[in-house]
This record gives sequence, C-alpha cells and structure tokens, in this order.
Amino acid sequence: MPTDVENWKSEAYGREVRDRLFEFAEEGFDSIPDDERDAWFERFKWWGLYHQRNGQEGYFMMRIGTPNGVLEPGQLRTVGEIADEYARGPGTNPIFGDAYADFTTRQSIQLHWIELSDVPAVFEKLEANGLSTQQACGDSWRNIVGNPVAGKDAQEVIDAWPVIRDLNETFKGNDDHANLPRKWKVSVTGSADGSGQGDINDLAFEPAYKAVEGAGDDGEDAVGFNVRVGGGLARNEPRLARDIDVWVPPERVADVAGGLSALFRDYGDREDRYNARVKFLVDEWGADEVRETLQDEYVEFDLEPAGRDVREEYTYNAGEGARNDLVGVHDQKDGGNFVGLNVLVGRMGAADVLDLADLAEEYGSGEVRLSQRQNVIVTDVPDDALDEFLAEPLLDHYSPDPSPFMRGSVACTGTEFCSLSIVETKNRQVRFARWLKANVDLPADVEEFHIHLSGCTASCAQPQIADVSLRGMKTRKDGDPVEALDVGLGGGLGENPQFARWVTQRVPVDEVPGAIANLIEGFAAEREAGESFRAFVARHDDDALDALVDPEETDYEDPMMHNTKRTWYPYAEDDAIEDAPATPADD
Amino acid sequence: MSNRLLRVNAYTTLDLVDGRVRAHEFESDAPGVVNVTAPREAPEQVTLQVELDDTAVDDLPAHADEIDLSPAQARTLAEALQSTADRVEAAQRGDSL
Repeated sequence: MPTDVENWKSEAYGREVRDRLFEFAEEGFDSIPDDERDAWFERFKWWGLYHQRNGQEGYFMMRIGTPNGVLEPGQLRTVGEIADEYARGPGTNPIFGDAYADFTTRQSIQLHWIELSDVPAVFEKLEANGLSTQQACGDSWRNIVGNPVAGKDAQEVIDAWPVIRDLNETFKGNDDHANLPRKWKVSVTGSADGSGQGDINDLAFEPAYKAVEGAGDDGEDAVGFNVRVGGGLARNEPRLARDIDVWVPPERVADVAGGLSALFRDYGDREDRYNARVKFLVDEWGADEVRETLQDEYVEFDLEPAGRDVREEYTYNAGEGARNDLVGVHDQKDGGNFVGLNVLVGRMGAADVLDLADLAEEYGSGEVRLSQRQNVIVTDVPDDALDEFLAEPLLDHYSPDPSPFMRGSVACTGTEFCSLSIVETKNRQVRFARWLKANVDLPADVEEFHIHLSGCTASCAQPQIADVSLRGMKTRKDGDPVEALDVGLGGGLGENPQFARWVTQRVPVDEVPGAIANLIEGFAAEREAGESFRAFVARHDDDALDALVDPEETDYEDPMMHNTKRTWYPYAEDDAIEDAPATPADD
Repeated sequence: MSNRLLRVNAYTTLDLVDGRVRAHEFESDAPGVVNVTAPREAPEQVTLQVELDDTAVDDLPAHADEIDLSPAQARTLAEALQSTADRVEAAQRGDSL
C-alpha cells in the first residue's frame, strides 16, 4: 500500500501545486486547513519550500536550485536583495545577524524566515532574473551538481556545463519525471579532480575515455562519461555509487539519465520511504541488473561498456594531494583566473552577498559559482586585476587562503531551523573553527583538515566523508543533559572513497575542540613521515583512535549546551517554545 | 565501533537514556537510545527499539534490540510505564517531605 506521501502526491504534485501555493499566499498562512498542512507542506517542497520547525510556524526555508552552482552575472545580486528584503524573521543570529544566505553542500542557496505571503513576489523576482526554486526539494530531479568551474577549469577533461544545462532544461518541469519515489540527485563532472562528488549521488556521470568507432581519424579516444548509480549518505545507510559498466558520449547523457530516472520511477519502492532511494534498489538488484534493465527497457541504442576513467587523478576531498577544494587562485583555460573564497559553514550575511556581487562585477564577469564545500568562487578575473581583487577588505573575511580549520569546515542547518536536527550546528562550527585556528597547529606539511558537523543522521553536512565527522547526539554532564557529538574519523572521497569510522560516542560539545586538539597532537606525534591524516586513521584500529580522541575541557566555551531543539529559536533571550512568536500576519 | 543502527533525530523518542547490559558473565552500564515507531502506512504493530552505545559495551557486537507489540500489548506497556512512573514520582515527593 502506498504511503501517505504517495497519496498526497497522487492528489496533487509538481507544477499544479503552484496555483494553490499562490492562493494560500494570497489568503494567508492560516487559510491552509489544519488537517491538510502536512500534505501541503510536503507538496510545497517541490517548489523549494520547507516549513521551518516547531516554534517557527508560518515561516519557510526557501531553496534556490542553481545548476552546478552557477550564478550568472547579476544573479548573486538578486539573491542578496531577496535575502535582505525577505529573509528576515523574529530571531537574530548572534554571529550572522538578521538576514543571510546559506550556500549548501549541493551547490544551492537556502534562505530562511520566508513568509508564505511573500512567496509570489520572491518567485517573480527570482524568475525575472533566471533563477528558480522549482524541484529544489521534493521527490524529483534535484539541483544537478558537478565541478562548479565546468567550462572554465584548466584541469577539465570535458566541459560538462552544456550537458548539465541540457539535463536541467530537459528534466525540470518534465511531467514524466516529476513524481519519483524519492529524491533524485545527479552529478555530472568533467574535470579530473573528482569535485562533482559523484560517488555520493543517486546518479553520477564521471569523465572517461573510450575508443569508439568514428571518434576520430587520429586514433584519439572519445571523451565522455562513465555511469555510476546508487550513492548516498542518509539514514545510517551510506552507499557509494555503483559502477554499472556504461560509457556514454555527451550527446547521449540525457537519454541514459532519463532512462535511469524512469527506471527509478517505475521500479523504486513507493511503499516504504525509508527504502525508496535508488541505492536500495541497486542493493537488491546489483549493478548488472540495473544495466540490463536500462538496456532492455529504457534506451534504444546499444550501451557501450565503461571507458577508461580518471579516478586515480581525483584530489577533491581526497585527504591528500593538490586541490582538495577549490579555494584559492586557479587558472582558467581561457587565461583568466577563478578565485575560490572560503565561506565558513556556507553562510554569508545579505550585505556581504551584495558587496561580493559588486566585486564580481568590478573584477570579473559578474558571475560566481558555488562549490560542494559551501564556498563561493569568483570567476573570470584577469591576471592584471588579480592583486587588486585579492587586496579587497571583504576577502579578509572570505579568504582565498584561510586556515585549514576554516576552509575545512562544513555544517548543516541544525536546530536553528531544521525539524530533524538535535543539536545546534552552524554557529558551533564557527566557534570550533575559530578556536582550532587560534590554538592548534597541524604538522607543517598538512594543509587540509576537513571537519563536517551534521545535526542528525540525515547527513546533510556529508559527515561520513570528512577527516573528522561530527554528528549530533546527547549526553549527560554534571547531572544535566547536554548536546553532544559522535566522532568519526578518516572519511573522504578520491580514487578509493572511504566512509568515516565512528570511534567515539557522545562527546559533550564543549569538550570537542579539546578532543580534536588531542587527536591532532597524537597524529603529529605518531604519524609516519609525510603521512596524511586519512592514511594515519586507516592504519589504526578503532580502540587506538578512540584513545587519541580524548575529550577535554579547554578555554573553549559553548553557549548552546542546553537542549536547543526544545527552544523556539536557540539564540533568543526568551527561547522557550511558549515564547515563540505568533504566526506572521498576512500583509 | 560500528555506526549506530538506529537513526537519531528530533523525532527519536529518547536520545539519551541510562541503561545496562547484563549477562551471566558480565555487566556494563551504557547510555542508549529508545524509540517507538510504526510504519507510516498500514501499520500492524508498534515497534519498540533500544540501542545501547556500542563504545560502552565491550562484550557484545554493535546491535539494536527491537520488540514488536500489538496495539493491546503497547497499551499494557504504556499503562505499566505510567503507573510505575506515578509510583516513583510519589516516592520522590515523599522523600522530599
């Protein structure tokens, strides 16, 4: 029997929800009947709107899907203006202020405190500037990810940007693919660095060479993509995408992607949402059966076996090697430069967003791009403008050359807004990074150290693929329940991706910085010459690693030790649920 | 240790309880997670889940225990928990007098 969500979706879903959404916006939040709220909130997700958590009734998170993280000239300014005008609510964040934008691990943008009555005006402004929230959430094609500097990166094997644009245009708003059993996350990467993180997506296209007939008289192999299916991190069931032994030329990516999306639509589990992601179908069938079914039922040409991949060159989030992220100054293939700026935990105040939009126009083409490590990249900066750009005061804060602890930090939304999280995350990760920067030295030859903080097992901060993985829990300290974190170590991507091993449970949050300091001290003392942290973890057993974690109080202070999920807003002076503000008035 | 078996998020019934595992040969105190759940659609039973922290228990592999209860059994359990909670609270009030 189908689930509630499947029944709601069968009544109304996809594009048709927009009219009803606008009627509710006109009539006011309270016009949504109480007994229909769960159904409508589920449907609104397809339009990028998530109702915020308990205590924040009537306010929404809005996700803007920017394919491959590309914001064309002018679009960052639009985001900044919308954040400044509409993403303001009754709570003030003590670090980030009243209005801000979040850059996410899937190269999207999230705004908070959006009122339903403002949605039509926000949509109008977004759409007038070529932006959209459509299918940013919900059970369908999500924002397509990849190497954000596709088309410009001097290191790329093939330009994936036209492929991504084509997939986005083909499958967004496509009624045949609008209602899938669960979310459908696609990655298309053309660079040899692995920065599309395909291994953790439902469907991944990765660059690969293939000798095919008619590829060229000079004997060179054709460049296209190998296909992997069924990766994902959520629900305590992380999977790496499985190689289905298919190579596809760029002009046929849409056929294969559409075939696999239709296969998922038809064969995915609609009875149990916990078992619905395609990773579980791949578990059940195996890669061979996925390939056979794709060939027999969904594509009309003969699939080529996989080609020669470039995975051995992958460095992105790989634990060692060059270009572990895209922060810093890098060459474009047209002779210009792209400059990756560190946005700590992906959050940028609205005023800073607008200032950055100015700088991107002044020094570059006005375009910016978003990476999966929650950072922002200004593209098209010519050599002769580089020094002046790098001297801009805004770059003191959003640095192209930050501390490893700043550039390595990723955090999810947490209890500030999310109804799943059990701990506060963004501000805590900022404080962790600042404390570690001030107090801890990595060995001189270690330039990267990734710490990902996720508020629950949903894994939105991708905790399993970090050097240090932190995940929300609770513990008791001095008799009182306090927020705590489970600690995992040694995860990362690269040629041979590896999920973190969870070694220590329930570390009180105020002892986590000390635990990381002690861990790094042990690593520095016991590592072999030149050994990366990930390699160091790999050659130790869990007990030895648990001993190295060694939680300890330090001068780090954590103001959010209490049970923040029980507040209406963790940073409010009167934070009890009973003190929650009224649902926003219709205006 | 292994990854946790139970999902832990804001919908988890209790993310921190004190428990112990007791066998003939050993006994270990451990914090744990308790959750009550049933399928979203067409549920036939209530499932009570318990997972004690793997790092606190050396003598067993990581595991969760799950008990399927009929609605009547779940109510019996709920009533027993309720009445016992009342008795404990009454005793605590008595202690403080």
